[in-house]
Amino acid sequence: MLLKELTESSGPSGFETEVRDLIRKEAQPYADRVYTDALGSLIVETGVQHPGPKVLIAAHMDEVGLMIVGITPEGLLRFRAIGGVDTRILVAKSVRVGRDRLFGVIGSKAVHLQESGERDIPLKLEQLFIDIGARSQEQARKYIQEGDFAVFTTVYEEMGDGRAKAKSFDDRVGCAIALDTLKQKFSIPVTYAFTVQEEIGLRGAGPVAYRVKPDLAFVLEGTVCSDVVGTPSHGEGTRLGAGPALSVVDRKTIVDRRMLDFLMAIAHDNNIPYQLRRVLGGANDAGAIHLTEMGILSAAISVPTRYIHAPSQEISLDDVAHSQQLLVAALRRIEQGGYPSI
Amino acid sequence: MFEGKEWLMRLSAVPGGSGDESRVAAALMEAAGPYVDEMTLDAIGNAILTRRGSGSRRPRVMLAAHMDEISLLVRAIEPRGFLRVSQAGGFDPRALLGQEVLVHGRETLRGIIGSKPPHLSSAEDRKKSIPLDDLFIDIGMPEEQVRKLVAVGDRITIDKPVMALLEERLAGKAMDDRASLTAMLICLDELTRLRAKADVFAVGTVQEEIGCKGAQTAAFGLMPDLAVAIDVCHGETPGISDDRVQKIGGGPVITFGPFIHPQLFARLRDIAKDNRMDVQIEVAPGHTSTDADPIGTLQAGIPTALISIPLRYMHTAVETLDYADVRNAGILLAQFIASLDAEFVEGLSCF
Amino acid sequence: MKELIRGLLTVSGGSGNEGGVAAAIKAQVSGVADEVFTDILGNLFAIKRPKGAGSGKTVMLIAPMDEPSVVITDIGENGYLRFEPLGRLQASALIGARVRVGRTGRLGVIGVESKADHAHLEFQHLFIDLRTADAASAAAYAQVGDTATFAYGMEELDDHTVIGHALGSRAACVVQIEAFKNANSSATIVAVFSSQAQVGSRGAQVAAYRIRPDLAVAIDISPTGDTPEAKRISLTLGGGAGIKALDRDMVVAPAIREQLSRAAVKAEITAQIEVSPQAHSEAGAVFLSREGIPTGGVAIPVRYADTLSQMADLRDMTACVQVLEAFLSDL
Repeated sequence: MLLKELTESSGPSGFETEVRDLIRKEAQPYADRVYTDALGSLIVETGVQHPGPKVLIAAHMDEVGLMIVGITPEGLLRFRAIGGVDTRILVAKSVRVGRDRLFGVIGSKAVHLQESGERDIPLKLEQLFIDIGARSQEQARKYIQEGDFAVFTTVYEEMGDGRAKAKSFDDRVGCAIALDTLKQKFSIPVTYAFTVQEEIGLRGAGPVAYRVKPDLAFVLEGTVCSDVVGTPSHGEGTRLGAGPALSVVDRKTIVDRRMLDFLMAIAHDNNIPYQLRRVLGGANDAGAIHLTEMGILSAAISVPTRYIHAPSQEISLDDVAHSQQLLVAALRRIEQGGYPSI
Repeated sequence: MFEGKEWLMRLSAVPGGSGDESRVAAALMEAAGPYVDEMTLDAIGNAILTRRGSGSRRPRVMLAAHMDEISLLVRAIEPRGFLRVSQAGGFDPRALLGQEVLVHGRETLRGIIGSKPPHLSSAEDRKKSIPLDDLFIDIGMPEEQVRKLVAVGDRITIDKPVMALLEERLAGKAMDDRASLTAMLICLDELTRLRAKADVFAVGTVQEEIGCKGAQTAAFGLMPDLAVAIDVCHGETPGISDDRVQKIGGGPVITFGPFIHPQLFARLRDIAKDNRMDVQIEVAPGHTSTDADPIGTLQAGIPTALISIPLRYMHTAVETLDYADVRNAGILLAQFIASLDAEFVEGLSCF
Repeated sequence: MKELIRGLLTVSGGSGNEGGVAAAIKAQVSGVADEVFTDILGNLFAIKRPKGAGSGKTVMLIAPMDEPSVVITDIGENGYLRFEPLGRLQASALIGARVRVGRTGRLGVIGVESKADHAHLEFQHLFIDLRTADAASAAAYAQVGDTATFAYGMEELDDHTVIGHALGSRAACVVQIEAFKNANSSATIVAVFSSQAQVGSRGAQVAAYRIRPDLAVAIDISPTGDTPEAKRISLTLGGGAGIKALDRDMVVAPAIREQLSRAAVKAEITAQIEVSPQAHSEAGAVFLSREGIPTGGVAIPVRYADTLSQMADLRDMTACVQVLEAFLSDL
């Protein structure tokens, strides 16, 4: 698994170059064909000599991040979010910014200098700046220009009992599972798509699906997980360590029941733990894929990710392994002709 | 030589609410006739102006500027013939009070958006703005006559002639986006004096103001190799931080961000530099709210760029811009198109 | 017509679970259709080809099969179900509502946590009570992902006024069924009974892409403005067939609006123009398909459209059928 390299690479939506180059290098030896499309999604074809059904496996390369939109006279960087970032989480965090990947910190007024009651009100984006240590606007301009991006500095590390923390498990964990899967051979055509711009409106996946025209699609995701103290069962979404989360319904997709039954049967037959994703909120690339052209049968297999979109996210490595086992078992079953169709 | 400023003033005056752009299309075609090889209206009203390039491997370039303006529709006819309205596109109702309008019923009728005289409104009243639902239009005739001439669903547009302000600055209604249509026409005229390889499909799009609809369907039909949307952006406004606005008269604006193809952005910036043209750069961390947004993800994905003309007081009757920005946007587009070849287009999918 | 509405209202059709409704509609249209089939998303297509040569044109009618529903997201240890809305539902309007789990037919009642603030009620404060003892016994009647719909059916107020919980879908389907049955046209008619309309016209999107019609008409309901202190909307109950000019998702080109208005004149029925900035329809999604599809709309005026007791007038529905028939026969 390349979880460390993948999660420590920088790639907010529209700026996936580093991640793409890493994945391309890893995938090349196992692929029949590797290419990019007009938006920058990386498409890896395998098993092209085999007859159908054609399967698309999609994972998105991009992460949420920040974009520099201005520099103050003091040399502080003004920014806005790329994708969904809770502004409240940014205070006192560190980032890498600009072409030189400089360190920057997001500071705020010291508690001593605040008036009473100030700390009860969340800071607004306009009140936050990235400090790269520049003495002036001119000095900052030598390193930074408007349009540069920033990402969190989190380091991948394993922790606790079979857990790991890093930034951007959403969706580098999906990329990692896809990359490991494509090293296996299947007697069906499988196209792996590492998509761009999922976090800013599922923009990369639709064009990929239109180009690939698969019979079936599986989306690999890092998904919401809030099985923490104080949350009732119906607020959890998923549970860490309880196995891959199969989507039933989210904001952009009502998962086809045949696909869901297919995955549950495979999990059952292979003794792979799984759970159903128990929340409507959120969406993934399946939302764009399943509505492409006349409709494409799609499902999503997700790794529960605590603190998703925050700088330090937590996953269970068992969930990762089980997610991949489920995907491989599904592909093996499809090889044998046991796939859903209408 | 194409008389851009005169055409802009003329195009501004043409009524064309979203979904009802045929008059704008007709004017656009009249203006473009001398500079293009072919002109068609598609099934939903987009005006497609085609100018062929030269050579055997011709890139297909789509330009998109929208023909529609924000407008009102008659929602109900009230006793004594007053009209209640709904909007197609986003007005600030505070800017509608007291405006003159044209009601496009069986005949085109003059109307006034009525207001209560200050003498009759209380101090308390004047602290509140009047919501769109409470506005009414007075067309100055008895109810019986109104009902003969006007029906629910009829279109209403702002009526206000263009004013020439100091220097090359102009103010009027629907400069959003007739300014961009004008820039597109200037580009087509410029191309007559340049040797361009690309086939250009300059599209006057419909229904941008209600969801960038025409650009999406036109791009689906044309399947261009690349597309450039042209629209207006916000000019500097007191109290708004300068990363959200651009200078009017500061030159055309080129957008950078995830929704824009990086190589197209770089090429536009380089062309401006080569031509010693001042341009401004706008960064967009997400959507641009222009025709560029839907075009980019159509079919297998279409590399898309965005050029904007800075404009103050957007979506009001006095949208103000500097004509120099319009002219330069047209020239920049033409030089950009002349620089394109098949090799560049093929490289757009290489990341 | 009345019995057809009543019949369709006994079937549960949450978004993504429209199979029962599709089966009931298929039984109605099979006899007159040249071809009937479904697609991946669950849309039902019925095709009627012209007798003789025909014009070579294709016109698509579309009406939504799904109704507002809730989707079960969690089964608590105590057997109470938690859910979220599919479609435009307000949490506060659902307290005490009777629901039926689509797959199993089990009835239940929606309850609310007593600590919840009713002014800011969210779906997380509501639950469905199936009167089961624990999670294991609840699982026999409902699973995560099942949809539940409201269980009220149809009542008659007088000889031409009906009340029902899902008229937004079924009244439109009934109008489309009748128009399709009666239609005589030189164009090929494709009647699409669509899936997943409530969650954003998803079925409509792929259906329009498949059919690629020359012209389309969306059939929907639209709220009236004839109740006390209502929004200023000119549609009235009993005021005749609605012809769409504008809704939240669509502005209809004047030419198509006029084509439908002429059909109303020809059919000698009363029509009214719909300008409803708050109402949704599938017209917008169909319009945006491929190179752009000229699209209009016929709206059935309905009172209390956002509630569990929607009120429609059969005379308006008949007028809608007649407008469509006249429109189709003139193509």
